[in-house]
Amino acid sequence: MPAVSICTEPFRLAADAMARSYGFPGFAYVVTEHPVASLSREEVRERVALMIPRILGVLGVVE
Amino acid sequence: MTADARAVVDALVDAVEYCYDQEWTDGLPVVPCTPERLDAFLAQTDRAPGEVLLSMPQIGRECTVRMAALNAAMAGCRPEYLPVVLAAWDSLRAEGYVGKGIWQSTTGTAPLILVNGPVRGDLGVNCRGNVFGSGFRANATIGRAIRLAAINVFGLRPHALDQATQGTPAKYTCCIGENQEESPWPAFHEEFGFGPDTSTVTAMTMRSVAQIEARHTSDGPQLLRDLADTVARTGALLHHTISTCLVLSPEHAHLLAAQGWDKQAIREFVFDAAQLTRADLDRVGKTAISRTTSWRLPADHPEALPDDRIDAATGAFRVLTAADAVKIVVAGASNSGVSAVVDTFGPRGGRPELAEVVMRST
Repeated sequence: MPAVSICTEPFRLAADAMARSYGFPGFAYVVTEHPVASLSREEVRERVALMIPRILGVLGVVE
Repeated sequence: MTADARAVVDALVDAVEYCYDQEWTDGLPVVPCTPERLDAFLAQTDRAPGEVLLSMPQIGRECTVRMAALNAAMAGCRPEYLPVVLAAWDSLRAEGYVGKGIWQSTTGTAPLILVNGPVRGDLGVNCRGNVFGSGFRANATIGRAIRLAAINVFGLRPHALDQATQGTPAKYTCCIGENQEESPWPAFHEEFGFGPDTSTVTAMTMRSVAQIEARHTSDGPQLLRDLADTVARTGALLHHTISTCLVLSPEHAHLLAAQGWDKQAIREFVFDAAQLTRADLDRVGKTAISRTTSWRLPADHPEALPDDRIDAATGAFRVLTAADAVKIVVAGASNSGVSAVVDTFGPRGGRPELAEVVMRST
């Protein structure tokens, strides 16, 4: 199943390091603002809506 | 200083700087290692250099006996410390948290490494004054050997694969010996079935060490409630319950023993005393449990499930699952009523992972 990794801004360095350690430097993922743990359900929905074009972009979906 | 001596020092400093350039350090200078020096370490064990001590499948890396020895040498260990370092790895592997990635977590944990048995005297592991502090080569370098390998073998460098938000000073080193000689009770390893002539290492993944300065009372229950208050701090309570290791100073241990307390009685008392109320949990937004992560949440969170451990009638809540979730060690100087509460990750009861220190065959 196609999947897209999402992480928040402060985890970019860790995400890049993890990608390199798996042998996939430059692995594409989607970044969102930090934090997410304290968001309300509605705020999570807004975040997801904002990210959808980039998620589809990583999946190679052309609208 | 002679020209020869100056040349030796210059070469040594160059080698130390080379190690910095390669990022082989925790920030402090490391001891440069040669193949011959590494062989001297490996000669201290019968274990094969290629034996895997710990794997992290999530990053595809593993630490072998050879790499553990190399990092022990770089950490400043003497070769004869190696069996203790290997036992620390054995304990960490058995405990399980490191293999699952806890060293990469924002939580920022470090291992508390507890040494028991005759090897403490043989190697000069400090068990007395300043036991969590500096000043003793064995404590400083055995703990550092583990953390250096985290950086150099597993590549867990801060700002990259080590994502700790703040970390802990224990990430440089945290190795203590139990002060068995000044403890009124059987030693930690004897409690778990090892003989007094055996040496063991117990690694406990932990968040922090909180100091309890208590010379105000000679009443056992008052002292234990003072300790239990820190055990029950809400900041340590992330999931259903917590676990703890009490590092009692000899003075506190003797005060309690003289009033008839043994370790089991202390465990049971602290289990009972380490309580919060529903109101305490409401006040900090930790009354409920997440249905997806088991983390604590405010009661009105969309994922909240009620916590059935909170007594419905009285609102009382025990932060510990069982008396066994309290581990007890005696360490420090016999000079004051200063003890410590270590926020451990587990076990929430049951047996800690003691690993025997195995010397090379003669």
